[in-house]
Amino acid sequence: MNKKGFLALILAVLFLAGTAEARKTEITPADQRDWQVIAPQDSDTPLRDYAMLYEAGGHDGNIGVIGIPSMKPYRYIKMGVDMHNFPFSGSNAGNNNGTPDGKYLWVSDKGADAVIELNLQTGFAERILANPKPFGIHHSAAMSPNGKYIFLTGELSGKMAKMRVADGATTVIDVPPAPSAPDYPDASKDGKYVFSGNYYHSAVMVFSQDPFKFIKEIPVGKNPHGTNFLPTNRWAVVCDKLSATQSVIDVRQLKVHRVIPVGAGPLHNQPDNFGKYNYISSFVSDSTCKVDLGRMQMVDEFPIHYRVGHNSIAPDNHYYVSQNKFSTGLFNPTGIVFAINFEEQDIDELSPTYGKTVKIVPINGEPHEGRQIFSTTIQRWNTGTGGDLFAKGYELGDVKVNFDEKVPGKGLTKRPSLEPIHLAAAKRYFIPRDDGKPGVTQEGDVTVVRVKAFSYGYIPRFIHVKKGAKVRIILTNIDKAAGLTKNPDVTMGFLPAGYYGQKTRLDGVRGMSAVGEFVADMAGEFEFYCQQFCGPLHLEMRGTFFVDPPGGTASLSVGDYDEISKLEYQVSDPSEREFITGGNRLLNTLKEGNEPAL
Amino acid sequence: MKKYLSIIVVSLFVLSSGIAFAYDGSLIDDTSYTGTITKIDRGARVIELTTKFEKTPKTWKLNMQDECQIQVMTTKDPSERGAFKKFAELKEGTLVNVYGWPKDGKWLARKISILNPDDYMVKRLEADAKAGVFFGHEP
Repeated sequence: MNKKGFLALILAVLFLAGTAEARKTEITPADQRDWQVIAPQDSDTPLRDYAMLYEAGGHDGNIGVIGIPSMKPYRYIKMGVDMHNFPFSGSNAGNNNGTPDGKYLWVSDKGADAVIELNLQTGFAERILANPKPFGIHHSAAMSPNGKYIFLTGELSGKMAKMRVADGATTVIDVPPAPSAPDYPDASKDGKYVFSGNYYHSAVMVFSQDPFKFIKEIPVGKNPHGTNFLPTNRWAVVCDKLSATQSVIDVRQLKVHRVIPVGAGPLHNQPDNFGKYNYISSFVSDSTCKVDLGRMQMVDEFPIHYRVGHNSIAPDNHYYVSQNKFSTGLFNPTGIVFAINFEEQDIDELSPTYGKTVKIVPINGEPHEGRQIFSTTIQRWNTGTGGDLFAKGYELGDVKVNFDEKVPGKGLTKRPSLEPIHLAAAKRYFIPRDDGKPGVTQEGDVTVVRVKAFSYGYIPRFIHVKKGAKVRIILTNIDKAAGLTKNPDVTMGFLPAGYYGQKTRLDGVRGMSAVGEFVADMAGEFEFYCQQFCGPLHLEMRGTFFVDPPGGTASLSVGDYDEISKLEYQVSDPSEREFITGGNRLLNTLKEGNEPAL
Repeated sequence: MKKYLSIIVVSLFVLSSGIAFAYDGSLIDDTSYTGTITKIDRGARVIELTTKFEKTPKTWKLNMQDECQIQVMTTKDPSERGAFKKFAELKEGTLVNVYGWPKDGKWLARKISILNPDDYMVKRLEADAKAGVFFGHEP
């Protein structure tokens, strides 16, 4: 081979090698698709989700089950009237997600004034833990470390309850001095305290878990909302809704340690599993605020769309879900009530999409609390091994979990699947906007109650009707835009808690009036409230519906509460009544100190 | 007299400062620790944990409750996320987060979460501890 030929050969080899190398770096279809981030991401839609978000759907009466990170809605499970807050069974050890054993969650039904038990393994409502009457609305539930008790707040009655979940035995105490509005509670991780925000006092109320009693109140910022203990139990964090601050309470000294400025309208806390960061939903500033509890300062802020209420965090701290109250303009219209949405944000600081929204999906209802659980906790019963659930239970590692509690109405071979009545007994319809004068009038044999709803209140604030009256409530939304935030698509709600909650739940959309009809056959005092989130002072949008007995005026001590308690009205099939436990039958049977909360 | 008074005042100041600054890590009544498992007594179901990311590492004996779960919280292997493990599979040297509570002179573990040393939270806690920023336990 001559010199030229040798050179040509070298060139040809180099050309071929170069071509091969060039082919290696060719853009693949996957790269073309994923132009921002080339490497596979956790947020790529997986075949199976590693975690599940359970969310209390508010006025849709459901518990929703959403996949993490795919954000696919898996199921909506029928539970009751107005679902608010829940712990998973197991222990409250850890952050807000606790240490679930996969058996149950216990969700507060603000509309029906009860706690509904959802069996996570069957995926159906299994038991109703009825409250003593009149306990009033309990807004939320927090679990003791040993998982045997839940603590409930009677937001509108100014009371607190400690309920033994095995049999529903309950102790109710007053929250002094009246008026009090205990709303979001949390139980300390060491079994000592229960904290609850009290927006009437702008304070956190402190109770001991055992014996269950009021200890003191700790003044915090204006109008406290979410209140949570951190995993180490060193601090408790409080969202000061109207102060735009986070109060950090020193749990050892029971006093405020630091007040941290955060985004406007802070509502709820989601600490990570270490207690290092606390993620706050800030309603007015439309953001997620990240507070570093080592530095005691806000270190980051992520925008959300729009007007966040509750929130949740993945069990591995990699994703955060902002549960937004408004979707203004984001999705197709589906009727007169707009869809709200869940917005998933990447909070892994090493991820290329850190701080970004990775998914946003419309969601049913108006969800309140969300808690996330590793998918491994839910067993695969539909492979034909479902019978083992009753007979053998299941194993989480080498921890044996079974369903052999001695509970009234429960047996190993019979697991109920309750179908709560919800609003089946309610007569509800819409009419063109009614501009009649607000108040109570008698039209023939019907007592007509015209209620005007606005952000944030009702006219009239107090409603009196006579026992036995045929009542027609006409609810008219007179808002043009929500106060403070100016959101235009606000729906107003009307829901009397407890007995009438299952007959009347009105959704006051703009431009027309919502009507509910029922017979006021039980005397008593019933607080009504707005079940459609309408702004930062939505919680304070309250009124009182009195059904006066003949010759008297109803109050919390004058009414047919015993009769209401005897009416186990929440299930349609009488045979299912055996699955109702709690205050109806066991009023105040839980004596102080008879069983420790730890 | 003044001399003695000033000595007493200075002593009290030094003493109180000493108490204030001696606290540099977790205490037995905390309900969560992060650290490395340094010893396992499988018969007695007791693990020894040496804490990390604190000013002064502490070593705690943790008694496992019957209900104590062992679960993978963070991992490099996506298929292992949330996997429950048996006690026999727990190894010394593993980085974990432990939840539980003190009772009757013992610290009762309710959950042991296994951590990925390369996870962002671990890296963050390491970096912050080096910079003198601690979390959760310090006053």
